[in-house]
Amino acid sequence: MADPEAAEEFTALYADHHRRVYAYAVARAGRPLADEVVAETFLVAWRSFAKMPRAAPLPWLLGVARNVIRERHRAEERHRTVAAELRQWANAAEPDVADGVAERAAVLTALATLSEHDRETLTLIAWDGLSPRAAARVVNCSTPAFLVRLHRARNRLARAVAATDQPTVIKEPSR
Amino acid sequence: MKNHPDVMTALAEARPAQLDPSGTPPLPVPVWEGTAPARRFRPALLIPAGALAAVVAAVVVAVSVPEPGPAPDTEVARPLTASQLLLTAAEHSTTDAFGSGKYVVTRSEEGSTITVGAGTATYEMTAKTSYETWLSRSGNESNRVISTKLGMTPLTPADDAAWRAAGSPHEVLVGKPLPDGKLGPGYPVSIDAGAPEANSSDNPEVYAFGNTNVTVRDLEKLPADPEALRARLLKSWDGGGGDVPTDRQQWLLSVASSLLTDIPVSGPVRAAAFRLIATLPGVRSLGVVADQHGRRGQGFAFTTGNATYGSIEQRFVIDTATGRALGRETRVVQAAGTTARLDPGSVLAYSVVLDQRTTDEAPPK
Repeated sequence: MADPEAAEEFTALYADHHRRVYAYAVARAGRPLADEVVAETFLVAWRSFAKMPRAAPLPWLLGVARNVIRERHRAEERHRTVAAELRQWANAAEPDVADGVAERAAVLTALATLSEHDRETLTLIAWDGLSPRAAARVVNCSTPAFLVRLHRARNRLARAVAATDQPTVIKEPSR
Repeated sequence: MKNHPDVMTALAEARPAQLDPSGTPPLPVPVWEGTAPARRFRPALLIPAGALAAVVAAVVVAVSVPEPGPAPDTEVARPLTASQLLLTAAEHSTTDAFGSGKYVVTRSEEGSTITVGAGTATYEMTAKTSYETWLSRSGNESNRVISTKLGMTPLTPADDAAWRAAGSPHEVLVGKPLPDGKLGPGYPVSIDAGAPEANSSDNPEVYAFGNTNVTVRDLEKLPADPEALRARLLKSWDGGGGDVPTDRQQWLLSVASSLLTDIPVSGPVRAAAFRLIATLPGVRSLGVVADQHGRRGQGFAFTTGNATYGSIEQRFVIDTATGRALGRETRVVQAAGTTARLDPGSVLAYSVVLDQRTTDEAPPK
């Protein structure tokens, strides 16, 4: 039996969060798969709607999206797709327009060289706007464990940025 | 973790515009039909509270028994008093302990009264669903729920006439009853029965005491002593609110009685619940009544209410020979708010418990 109350709430949930889930899906699986991942994620969300945490649904939704991506799409393909997209976006930014653009290109290029694991850790914070605690819930680990991952991923990103040929204002990591 | 703030800021600023969708694609899930959300196990939601439509909210009908049985509201020759009834049921429940199986399996049917619309007419229909629930007692396996829509039927002959006058539609509009007595916007819902639908859940918190979630393992640890049970249940007392009573005694009555029908517990714990209920004010005996499937038992009831949904009678039908509940129902006593459209005495919702057992069998796929 469809429950109008639940259906209304769910529609609101979708309106509020589908953009965030889409963004996560693009960063994890690339644009060609993103719509499918979003649709799958919200289908799972609807089926589990009675039990999902309504107060803070985003980490839960991204956790579902993460599982959908991992179950449905092969890791190597995803990695290649996303890395290719990141480079494409980096190249699309004309380096001579402004310093900011060059910096963005350098960061994206550097990000493309990192492992999927590191990319996910970094972008959950920087692009999905989650707190470390919420991000830890997405990847299903403790907050301290996530902070350790984040620390290491930051270091690797900083090194990768420094190693790119693009001009950059990023400082070398202090340790 | 304050080191390299620059690289994180730079990364945030480099967030590609391609991450944002160009527009809002249509809702990818047919939420108004078919793919029903996982069952809400929260027994408190069985009260048709303001926020919750009666559409899924489910409670129980004890139907008055035709001859030769007495009508439920009629004094019988020597009816059991409420406390006699409760203590007898407790005595028989004591020996009805769970077996050793890995799963608790329950089969139940739930129905609720829904105001539906077709064209300009509105009328009442009863929506029924059957459930088979497999709960992992250790929490190590997934829980499984097989639900089957049994369809919607007009509540009374007058409702049947209204449905026919509207052209006997197989799709009706269901709107949420609002606290002001009006109906919210209607959504199309099929009145036809459906195929069984199986859902698994790894979330162990399938039940709640009031607004506080509990796991199946928590249920296994409930005490068989009424005072200890009272203390344990009150640990979950949070002031109530929403569709949950805000009076402590009413809350306790509501939560303790949910252990009789909605939440499966072992017989000795159920016995403690009966004994606890016997100590609480406001419980009255109904004499012999029958559940929606015509099974007779001893009835008891209490009344709850607030401005949102008026005054509601909660009825329980108990098989005193086994101490098990046959079913439960809610009826309108004083219509107000979300129940304003219903006559006093109308059944809001019901459930009947058809089976409850433990087993080592595997749940059906």
